[in-house]
Amino acid sequence: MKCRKCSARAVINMRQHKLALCKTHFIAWMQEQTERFIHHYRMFARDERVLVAVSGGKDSLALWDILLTLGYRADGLYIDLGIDEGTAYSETSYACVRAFAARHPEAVLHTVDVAAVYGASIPEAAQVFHQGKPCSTCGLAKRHIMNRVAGDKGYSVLATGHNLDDEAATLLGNTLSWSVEYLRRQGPVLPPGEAGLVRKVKPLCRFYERETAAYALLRGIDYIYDECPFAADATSLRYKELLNALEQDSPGSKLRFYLNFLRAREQHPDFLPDEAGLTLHACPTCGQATTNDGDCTFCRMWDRVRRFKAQEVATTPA
Amino acid sequence: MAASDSATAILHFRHQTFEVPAGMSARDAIVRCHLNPETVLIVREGELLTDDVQLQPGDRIRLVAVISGG
Ligand code: SF4
Ligand SMILES: [Zn+2]
Ligand SMILES: [Zn+2]
Repeated sequence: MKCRKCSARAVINMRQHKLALCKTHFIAWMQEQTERFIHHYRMFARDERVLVAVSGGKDSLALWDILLTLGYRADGLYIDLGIDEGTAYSETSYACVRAFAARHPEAVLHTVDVAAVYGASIPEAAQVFHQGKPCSTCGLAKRHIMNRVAGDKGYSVLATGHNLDDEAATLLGNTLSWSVEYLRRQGPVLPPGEAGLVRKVKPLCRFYERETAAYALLRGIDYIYDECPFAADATSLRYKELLNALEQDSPGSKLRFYLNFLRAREQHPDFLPDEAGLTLHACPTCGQATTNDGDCTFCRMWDRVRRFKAQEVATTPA
Repeated sequence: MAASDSATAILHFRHQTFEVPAGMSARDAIVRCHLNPETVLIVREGELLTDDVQLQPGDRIRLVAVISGG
């Protein structure tokens, strides 16, 4: 198969676009398309400082690479979740992030070590707070810490590496359960307000996961290939499988599912009307917006975790 | 699977190894291994390939999983 633009050997064929490209033209295409989406969805302007949430995975590192190549002022935020479970997941992912940052002296890497700052790793906190798989605890902590760091360090935009497969899987999940509240908010841009003070954007939300992986590979980005040990039977993986089964027979299915949803919501505002705003308060402990009376869920969680740990220490015989 | 001979190609995917007849397209080989071509990238000797490529005898292909969860 030959590149559509120069007839050199193609490295990727994107069946949903009927587009095959060589290495050079594919890399350029990913960067141009990202720039286009940033403008199209009004994600951020040239002079804004962008904080990229980097996990060490292919998507977030590809995103950071693209933004820096495009000349944006993009810094990274790595949150050390303290996940090991015999796989050294956090350690390995942090090493990938540091290696990338070392190659980009023009960018700053911020790191938050959850256990050092809050007193317990995510799996430890989850044992106390959510009992069971740590994903809810993890999600809550990541959202909170991203908001906090962006606010504290003066970034107006927080960018995450969500790709189309992530977004389509989330959309499928929210549709199967008719989670109206989530369907109303899901999109390439989440304006500041209910979820914090920064704008949240997903510049890669129209790329297939295959494309972000190909980009990382072709750019020589070292990313963590193995999953978080807790992701193994994540429902989102099942949804991705289902969508990819459709995609295999009918190229473009998952892209249409997502884009037509965005279009339908825009064209029919009554389809998912904005509800009268929830009443938000500032959390007395951390200051972030919350619908709770009193402390936000994040602060309550750590309060409980710390009290539990203190009790444990007190009752452990010397 | 059968012992390897020169008329076959080897596909590596995570911790699995598949042996397929040479001459078939990479896409057909992937489907034959019960994998979905949408979910892998095809790498031969460090080069990324499109899935219409014909597998040569003795090819060693790495299938890179692209789907992540969480
Ligand atoms: S799989 Fe769960 S625990 Fe692991 S990083 Fe994702 S949300 Fe966190
Ligand atoms: Zn080309
Ligand atoms: Zn709080």
